Formats: sequence, structure tokens, C-alpha cells
Amino acid sequence: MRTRSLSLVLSALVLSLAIACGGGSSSTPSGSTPSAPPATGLIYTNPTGTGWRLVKDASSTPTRVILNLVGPSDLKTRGVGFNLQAPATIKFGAFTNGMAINEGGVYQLLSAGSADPSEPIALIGGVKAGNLLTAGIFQKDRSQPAQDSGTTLCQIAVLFDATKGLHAGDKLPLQITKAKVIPEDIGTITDDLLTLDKKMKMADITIAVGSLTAN
Amino acid sequence: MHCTLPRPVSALVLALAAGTGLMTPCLAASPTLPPTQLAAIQAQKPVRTAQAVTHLHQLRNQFGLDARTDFLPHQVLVNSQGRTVVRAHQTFDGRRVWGGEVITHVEAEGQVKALTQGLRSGVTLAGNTPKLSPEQARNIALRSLAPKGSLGAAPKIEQVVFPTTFTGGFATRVDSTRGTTVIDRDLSIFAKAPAGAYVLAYEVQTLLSNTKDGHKEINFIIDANTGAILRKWNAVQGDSPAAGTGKSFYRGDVPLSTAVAPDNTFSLRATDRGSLPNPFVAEQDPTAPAGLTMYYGIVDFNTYNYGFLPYQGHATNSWGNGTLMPLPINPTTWEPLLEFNADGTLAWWQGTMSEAGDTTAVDAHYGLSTTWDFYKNVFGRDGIDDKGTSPFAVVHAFQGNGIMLDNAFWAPWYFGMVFGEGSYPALPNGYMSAITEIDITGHELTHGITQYSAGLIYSQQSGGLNEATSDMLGKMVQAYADGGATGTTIPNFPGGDLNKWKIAHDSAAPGVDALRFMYKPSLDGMSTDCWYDGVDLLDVHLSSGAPNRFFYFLCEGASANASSATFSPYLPGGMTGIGNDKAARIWYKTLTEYLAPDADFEAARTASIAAAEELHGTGSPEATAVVKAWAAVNVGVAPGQPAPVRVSFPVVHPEGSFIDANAYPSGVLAKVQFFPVKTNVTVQATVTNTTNTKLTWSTPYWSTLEGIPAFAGRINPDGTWATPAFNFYYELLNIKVTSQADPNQFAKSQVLLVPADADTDNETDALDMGAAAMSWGLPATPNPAAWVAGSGDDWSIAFLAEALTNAFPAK
Repeated sequence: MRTRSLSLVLSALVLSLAIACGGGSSSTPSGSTPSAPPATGLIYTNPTGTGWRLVKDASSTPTRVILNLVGPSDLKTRGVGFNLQAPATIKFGAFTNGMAINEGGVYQLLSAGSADPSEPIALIGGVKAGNLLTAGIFQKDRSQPAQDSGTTLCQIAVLFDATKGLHAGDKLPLQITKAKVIPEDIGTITDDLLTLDKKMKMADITIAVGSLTAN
Repeated sequence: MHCTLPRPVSALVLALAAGTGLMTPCLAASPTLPPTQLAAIQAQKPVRTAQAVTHLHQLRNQFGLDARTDFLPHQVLVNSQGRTVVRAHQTFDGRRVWGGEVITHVEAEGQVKALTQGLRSGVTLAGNTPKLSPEQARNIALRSLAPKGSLGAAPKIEQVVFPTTFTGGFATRVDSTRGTTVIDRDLSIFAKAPAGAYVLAYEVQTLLSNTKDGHKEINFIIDANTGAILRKWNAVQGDSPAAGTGKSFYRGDVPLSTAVAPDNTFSLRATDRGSLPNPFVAEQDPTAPAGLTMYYGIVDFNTYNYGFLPYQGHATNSWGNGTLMPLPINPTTWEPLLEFNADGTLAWWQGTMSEAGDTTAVDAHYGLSTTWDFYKNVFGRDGIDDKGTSPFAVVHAFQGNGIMLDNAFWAPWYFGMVFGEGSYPALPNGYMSAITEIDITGHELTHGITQYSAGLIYSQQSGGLNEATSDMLGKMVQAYADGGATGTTIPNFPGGDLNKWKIAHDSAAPGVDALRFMYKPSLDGMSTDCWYDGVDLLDVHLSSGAPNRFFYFLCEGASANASSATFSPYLPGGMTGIGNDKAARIWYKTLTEYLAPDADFEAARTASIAAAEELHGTGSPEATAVVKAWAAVNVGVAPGQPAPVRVSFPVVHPEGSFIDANAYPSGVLAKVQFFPVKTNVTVQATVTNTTNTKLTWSTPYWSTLEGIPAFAGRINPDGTWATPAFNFYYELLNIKVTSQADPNQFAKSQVLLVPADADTDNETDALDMGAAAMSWGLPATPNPAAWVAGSGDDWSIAFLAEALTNAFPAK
């Protein structure tokens, strides 16, 4: 009951702010100017820094921006997952695997020595309600070594949606709401449960996101 | 890497050898040949069998089979039209290809045709030498079997080539308490499917028959290279709960075929039914004579007493008294029905050998003898295997501790049948009162005939056909007995007497009308009246409803009165039946000459039409009746009917996928959609053959232990559904969707709710996969929530991946 009351309060607060700003983002994109021409694509500017970040892939087009997730060099991890909030005026795109995530070829997704194409892998990417992308790529076999994170670990795609009435210059904020990695040391199969319980923790990370603008 | 899947060569192909031209469609009935001509053809069986094999060799290239493929005949019969039907196992490098079978027809004139539905093409093996020895395979099987008592016999071991599409995982069974199909945890195995389409394997057959394990015949397929258990099943083809006793308890005074000994004592052995000794009995006693023989005893499953003794040494040749013996348990001492000494002699027999005890044996003996005669006189079949091997039957089977064995079953290991004591006269709570009613004896013996003819695999639709075949022909045995049990034809039942079409009508428990209702199977509350998408999910005793009703319609016709129990909405105009005799002959020919082990209802339709056309001609009223009767159970359409609306669930686990390859029976989870708990999802279904694609969803529900459905929210017309916050009993949820264009067309499936919050942060998202990945491969995990499928293996990864993908699709 307490949780529900809090939710109502928050909802009312959000609604008040939206009204104060003049309306929802779906009808009037953030930063739009009435005189700007209709947008035909997207521009993504990479974030600065050398930590966890989403950077534009060279294969991107104006209507399909591919973002590579890159981690710090020399940091070894066993997987990473994150949730990315996007405005309703853009879409997330699928890759040839049918998912909203594409593997980067760094993590060893199959168990050691396996070449079985039907073997389940811990790769997942889809879109939750509210245009929240949830994506993750993880090694499941702890006998596989942790991998260097300083390269493209996975990709996501952001699509321009011509039906949303975007104008050039409209800013399209992207926000990471949750991000975690599986660290290198997660214990061994011979560890007792207490040790494993201490080590098998996913670590919070911060992923820097660049700016996305309609063009 | 693409996985090449084992597939049948083609569906019901009638193929001729290259150069002999195409087969001429059957336009007229094949005449029955005179006995002298048939005898001459019978004498040519070996020649014609060799001719069939030669023909198959010529076809090998045509079917993509190489010289390593051969054919091993195992059943040969000559039908009344003079056709020699040769069933042969497909072999590869001398090893039997599991489930691979080809049927060859050698016509009276010598023309040869092959039915290749069950043939497997593209057989290859990664290696030709097994890494495991037969002894190692046996040990693996025995470890899995984990017998509580001693083995009934040494396991039988055969090296086979196994199509990995049959690799097993989930097994299902009927939970009689809950009245629904549930996962059978004892027979479920979670095997990783081998990469190849075929592997070298051992088939290990085991027999348990002791006081701790009861009677079980569990068979295994063991990967000969990895030792993985690829498939595990119960070979006992039993009936659903049944019980009983009584001689003329059911049929009044009956004639019995018995034997008299030199000392002028008598035994319940029909020396005129069975020319070869029973192989199981012969193992125990090489001097045991041939003949259908009644035994009593078997197993007290709760003490250490078991054994079989024949009904012999009887002072007179008059058996039973028409009443059943009273409850054979001393309620004060709980002395069992039977006890055997260590040397196998009888120590205690209560009333088993009393007149009332004999009555049960008389009913069984009469029923089985009549069944034998039915097959002999009507179809010219020499017993179960058509070779005259004597059946073995046991009555008064007993579980101990006052619990009667409430069942009857065909036990392949014994080449015989076991009939439980039931609980007559008055144990409460739904027990049957006798098991030896004649449609049951006919049913059980017919299981043997199915084993030695079509070999219908005892799961999914082929299993339903297996059970239905026993119901159909068991019921025909009853009709034959009602007509005096003589002659070569099967009389009809009295018109309109639906009681005659109830299975075990006279032996069902007080308050229970019958076990099954062939004219309207759904009257039992569980069976189906028709085919629908999802019928494979039913237990075989319930999916048998559709072919059972087909057979009733074929015999008796269907009513055009919508309020009648014999009305079918799929054939609203009704139809006229062709009578028992013609219907039974069509089905027997279908069973013995056309059906392959993995036949489904559609294949059975095609096969039975072919059989009817062979017997009566293309376009004959009989062949048309077959078409209509199938249409009346929603399989195919009757002449003039439009293509029916079809509702179906999409295949989400295709052949070769991890889930399908590890599910047993293969395909059982093909359409089961996985979703996370407590999430807004969309259930998928499709409609064809109509412009009105609107659907109505029933309320999804779990089957509870109390037998009361536990409902789980509401699926909206567009398929959207807020899944509940938990998975009840860890069971599958039942869902049903119905076409609004045609409310008689529906589909059923199940969905699996996955507790997907593996990282326990109260949010279901992709990061849960990280928690599951970390727990993969651990024998135990500090985070049980990460084992979403209950174990730290690929099942958890697969369950979670599919649930999350279904809930959060890429947009």
C-alpha cells in the first residue's frame, strides 16, 4: 500500500512538471524550434573519456545509428548489461539475430570447446514498455577466461522514425538507468557457497552516452 | 553450423522400382483370393520377402540411401487379397535405425511397392566404432534406473543408430488425482542433443519386477560415444485406471478351452491358441507347453513376495462360480492375497484358488481366447505376432498392503498381459470393480498386435492411435463375442445401444459409467472429440478420443441432430455408418499394412482411405465413409466441404532447437511459449482460411492438486496478458484460443511462466541474464533465483532468454 501511494505521488509530480514545461515530449520534441525544417536523420556525437561508453560505429547511416559499447582498456570482464532510456520519438533497431543487441565477438558465449549452434547463449536485447532498451551479453562458462573490455563488446541500433515529426535540431536524450558487469573474479566451481556468494556480484558501472540530435 | 535433421523419406510414398513405371491408382476393390491360391502365396513368403528386399535395394539411390543402408524383415503376412506385406527395419551398417521402417507390398501378381513413410534418409555417423561398451551402457542405464529391488532379468542391449530428433527431455503422464496431463519427473531427462542428426547408441531394455519397484519396463537410449541418456521411456503400454475380477461375472456361462493332465486334473491352458511356447515362461521352464495360459499371483509390491503360478491341478473342468471372491485381505492381520516361498512355491493363497477366485481367471481366459479367435477367424492372424507364440496372462495381480492393482496392461517383456485385482466389491473412491471385462482383454491383447505390426510409438498422436486401436478392436472383440464368438464376420451392436460403445462399462467403479466413451469421448471430462492444434499435449489415453470417435462414426454413423451425443459439428449433416465388420477390416488393414510407427491422425486418415480403397474401390461408399468419419473429428474434410478455419499456435521450438531437441516426446514443447512472471506480454496465435481473424481466449489456468483450475488473469482478444506474479506448482499453464469465425475451431497449448528476476532486484530485464550466467555450471548456487529452470545448466539460460525475448521484443 505504501509503495502504491508513493507511485501516485511521483506520477502526480511528473505530470505537474510536464504541464509546466508545456506538454509531453512525444508531441513536441525537446529542443524543437517551429521554424526548423523536418528532420531526415540523426546525428550522434560520441562522449568523451576512456571509461565505459557508447560510441558511434563507422557503419552507421543517417537513419540507423549503430552504437558500440566499449569499456576501459585492460579491464577484464565476463559480461555487461544495461538499460537505456530513449524518448518515444526514436526507435531501437534489431540486428540479423532478431534482437536489439549484436554481439561484438569478444565474449565467449558458448561453453568451452562447444560448436553446437543450438546451445543457449546469454545474449539478450529487447525493448520494454516506455521505450527502455534492456540489453546484455554475458559469458556463462566460468572456465572461459575473462575478456579485455577495451573494445566493442556489443552493439545497439537507434533508428530515425520519420513518422514522429522530428525537426532538425531536436535533442533526443539517451539515459542509462542501470548498468552492471560481471567481474573477472567470480570464484571457482570448487569454492564453497559462502565464498561464491561474496564473489558472484555484478558490479555497477557508469556508461557515458553521447548526444543524439535530429538532423 | 546447420544441423541436418533426420526426416522420413517422404509421406506415405508408394514407390516402384526404377524402370517399372508409375503405380496405377487403385480403381476397384482387390478381390479376395480363394484359399488354395492364398496357400500357394503363403508358401512363397520367403521368396517374396527376398523379392521385397531386392526391390528396396533398387530404390536406395532414389531415396538418397547409400549402400550402407539395408533392410531387415521382421514381419511378413499374406492378406486375403494375396498381397504379401513385408515390414522391415531400416539398418545402417548392420545396425537398426531406431524408428526406421519400410513396408513393402508384393502383389499377388508379383508387382512390388514400397511405403517409405517411416524410412530415414541421409543417415550418417561421425564414427563407426562406439567408445562405450555394452556393459558401460548397461551400467549407465542402471544408474538412472536406480532400482530399489533386484532386476527381473538381465537387461537386453542392442546397438542402434539413433535419430537425435527423438532425444528426450520432458515426459508427461496423466495425474489421475488432478485429472490432467503433468510433467513426469521420473521419466523426464534433460539431455543435450548431440550435434549430429544420427548417433551410434545402445538401446537398453530393463525389467523390474519386485516388491519395491513393482513392475516396470524402462528402456533407455544411451549415446554410445558420450554415455548421455538420450531417451527413456516406459515400455509397458498400460491402460488408464481399471480394476476387476470375475468369471461369468460379466458374460454368464462361457465355454473354456482347457487342458487335462495325465492325472486327470485340469488347467486353464488353451492348447489350441498358441503353437509356440511363451518366451518368458520358456526361460523359466524350458519344458513349459505352448498354449494361452492363465496364471495367478504376480506381485505384492509392498512385501517381498512375487511369482506366477498357473491355474492347474484342478480336480474338475468346471471353473469359477460367477461371483467374485470377497476382499482377499484379512483386515485384522493384513495378510496379503498371495505369498510365495523363496523356492517359488505358494505359501499363502487366500481365496485365489477358490471357486470365486477362479472366476476372475475364467473371465480373463474367455476374453483372451475370444480375442485370439477373433483375430484368427476374422483376419486370419495367428496370434499376437502372427507366428503362433503363446500369450501369458496373469490375474489377481496385487500391490500389497490391501491395495489392489487397479490396472491392466500389456507387458512386452512377458509377451503377455497382467490384470489387476481391482478392489471389488466395495473399496470406495473410484476404483473399478473388475479388470477382465471382454473389451479390456481385447484391448490389452491388441496392444500386442500393434507392437507386432505398426509399432505405433506410444506418445503424441501415434500413441493416441495406439490406444484407440486397442479400444476399437477391443470393442470389436466384444461384438464378436456378443455374436457367439464364431464365424468370420463381426456383427453389429444393437442399433442405438450406446452402452455398447463405452469402454469398461460393466467394470467401472460404482458411480462411474465407463472409462471411455467412443461415441463422445469428451463425456469423461478429459478426452477429446476431435483433432485440434495442440492435441499432442494430451496423454495418449485422452488423445485417443478423436480416432475412437472416428471409428464409432465409421461403424454406426453420425447424427444430424445437434442435440444428439453422436452429432459432430464438423459434419453437421451426419453420415451413415458401414457397420462393424467393414470398419474393423479397414482399420486392421490400416494397422497392419499401412501405418508407420510415428503416424499422426492425418497419416492415419490417408492410410485408412488407402485401405478402404483397396478393399472396396476408389470412390466406393466405404471409402467415402472413411473420409467423412475423419472429417467428423476435424481431420480433413468431407466431399464438398470448404477448407476449414484453422487456429494454431506458432512453432516456437523448431526441430533442432535446444528446447525441442531436449524435450520428450520430441515436439511436445514445440508450441509452448515462455514468458516471465509479472510482466505484460503478448501470446501469439494464428488463424487461416478466413477473413475474420478475431480470436477469443479462454482464461489461462493451472491444474491444481485439488482438481480445481487455478486461473491466471485474462488474455485479451489481441493476445496481451499481464502474467501472474508467480508460477503455481511450477506447472505449465493451459491456454485455449477459439476462432470467432468458427467457434468449433480452436487450439490449445501451454505456456511456461519463468521466474525471471534472477538478480533479485525486483526488475525483470536483461541484467537478470547476467545472474543466470554466473550460476551456470555450478553444482549449487548461492543465488537459487538464478536457476530459473531449477538447475544451473543451459535450461536456465534457454528459459530466461526466451521469456525475456517474448516479453521484450526488438522493435
